[in-house]
Amino acid sequence: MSQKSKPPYSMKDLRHRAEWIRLETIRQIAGAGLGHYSSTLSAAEILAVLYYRTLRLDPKRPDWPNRDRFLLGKGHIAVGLWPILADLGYFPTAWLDDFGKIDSPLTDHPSMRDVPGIDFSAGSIGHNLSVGVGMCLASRFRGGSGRTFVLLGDGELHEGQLWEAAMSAPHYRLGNLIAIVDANGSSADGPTSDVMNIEPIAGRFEAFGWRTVEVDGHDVDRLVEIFDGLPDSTTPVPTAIVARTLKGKGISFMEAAPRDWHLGFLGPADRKRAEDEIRSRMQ
Amino acid sequence: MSDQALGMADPFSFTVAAEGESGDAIGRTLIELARERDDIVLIAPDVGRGPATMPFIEAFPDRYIDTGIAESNSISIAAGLAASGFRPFVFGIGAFLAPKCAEQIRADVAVNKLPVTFISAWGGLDMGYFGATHHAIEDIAILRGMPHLTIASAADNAAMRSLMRAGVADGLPLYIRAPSSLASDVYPGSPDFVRGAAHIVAKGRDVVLIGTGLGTTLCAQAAAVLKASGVSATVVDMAFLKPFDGETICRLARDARGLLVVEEHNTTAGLASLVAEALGRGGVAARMEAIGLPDGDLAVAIPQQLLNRYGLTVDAVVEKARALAHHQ
Repeated sequence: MSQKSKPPYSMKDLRHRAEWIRLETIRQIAGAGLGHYSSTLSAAEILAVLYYRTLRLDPKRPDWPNRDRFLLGKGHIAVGLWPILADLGYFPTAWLDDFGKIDSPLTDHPSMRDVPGIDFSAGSIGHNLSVGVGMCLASRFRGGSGRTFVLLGDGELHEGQLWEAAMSAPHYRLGNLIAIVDANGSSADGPTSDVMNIEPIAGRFEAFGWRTVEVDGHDVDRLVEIFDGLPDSTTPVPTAIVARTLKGKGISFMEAAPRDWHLGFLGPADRKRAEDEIRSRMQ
Repeated sequence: MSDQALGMADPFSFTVAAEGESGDAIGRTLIELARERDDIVLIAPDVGRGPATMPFIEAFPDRYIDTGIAESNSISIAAGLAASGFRPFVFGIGAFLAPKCAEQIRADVAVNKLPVTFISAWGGLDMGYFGATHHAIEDIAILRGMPHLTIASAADNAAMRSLMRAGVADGLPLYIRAPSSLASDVYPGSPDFVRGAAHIVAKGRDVVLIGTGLGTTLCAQAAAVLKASGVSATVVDMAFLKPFDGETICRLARDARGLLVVEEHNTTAGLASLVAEALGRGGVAARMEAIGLPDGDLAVAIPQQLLNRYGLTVDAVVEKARALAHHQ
């Protein structure tokens, strides 16, 4: 398995890890009985590149003050984060087997009090860009170089508080804040912009004073290029990366019916179909 | 018209609070704490440059964060700072903290057990002149179901200082109702509060007067009047609404002819409810009365007129306490 390879990881390794995140997502949800598939699948490449290349972390010191921080706005994809944090050594991989079960620290939405490596809890959409602003201010007060990355859903852009945070980050000149929008185009009631228009996403962030970049969120090479090219954290302008993604990416029948697989459970036959598809790309 | 003519504090006055005013206690304590520790920061949604906090901002301009009129953002920002090792104070208008930001207080601060102190200023009926939107009389009801959150209410400036210092020392989420602009001194020195413990202000044998915030001020003043007419009253300051010291309430209730609860809050889900619940759980049968705000439309007027309307006066407390003491 290439997830045992050592850094620096090749582009192939990173692509491989994104597929492995998909497999582990399916495996954990199989044990739990219910889980968020399609919105985790859309973020697999983003998570792989961030954790295996971009974020400056020390898993042996989860509280290292000058680390980069990563927050989920869309907290329901924690299931995609757990295998990464276990693999990096934040907690035993055996924890993954109990995902979603009572008293397991690994829950559907993450809790900072229960899991090392979780910088902030998530659960209520729209709060964590504000929390990220607070963390970037803290880093600035301490003269640190740590950055904060916040992964948002595109449906999350419906939340009013999100725009309070978006207004405040450029005002405080927080170039150490990076928002990534997993723009998979779907929220619970339908296509995101049919429910409530959020486009142009980049244009809106630009109007609030952010530097913006659009990217295919499944293109590992481009994601690497963008994250590697982030400006120094002392820059006064925060960055918003609009990652265009496919909800359910990597499992054909979920791509075809992403809303049906927002929250669900794969029966044995469907699970095998899904895993076979993913494994075929890992050859 | 001057503030004094209105008989109310003007939150938007850009003057520094006069010595002895509630804002003075808040500002002085913030400065005191910030001199002792470098992790104290102040966050306010466009209400920082008023009398309570301006002295702090002048002393520590780099430790003040103004979020503009964005209360929710201010609380989540505070949570991010607290998760990064700071001890933030969020200073806001009482009517717009708990009611508007219950979810940020719960999900970002309380559940995560982060050391954020909320100062709910101009709470209760302090801004009652401005409309029903500005009554802050259900915050205890909104907050008391939240885990790990200590809820406190300061009877006077000395209590405010003690509560602010205790909150920073504990390092837990804390919500403090700042003293009413009409409160007066209850404590001669700094009260030594123990988190969650009732504080006995005066001991008596006939009736027990139980207050919080302005209610404690009224109870203390009423006890002095009652004493002159031969009624001996115990005065308890429930400075902590959560954790709630039901044991002390039950112990005092067993030996008294009656209990009178006084609060500048809705009586259906505030201190009176907490007392009733404690008595029920403790299996204590006691006669109990309450003075507070009704669960319905409230009048709009300057605070003293509102307090008169709803019986939050020394005279009304004396009258009810006397009736309890003489009840056969």
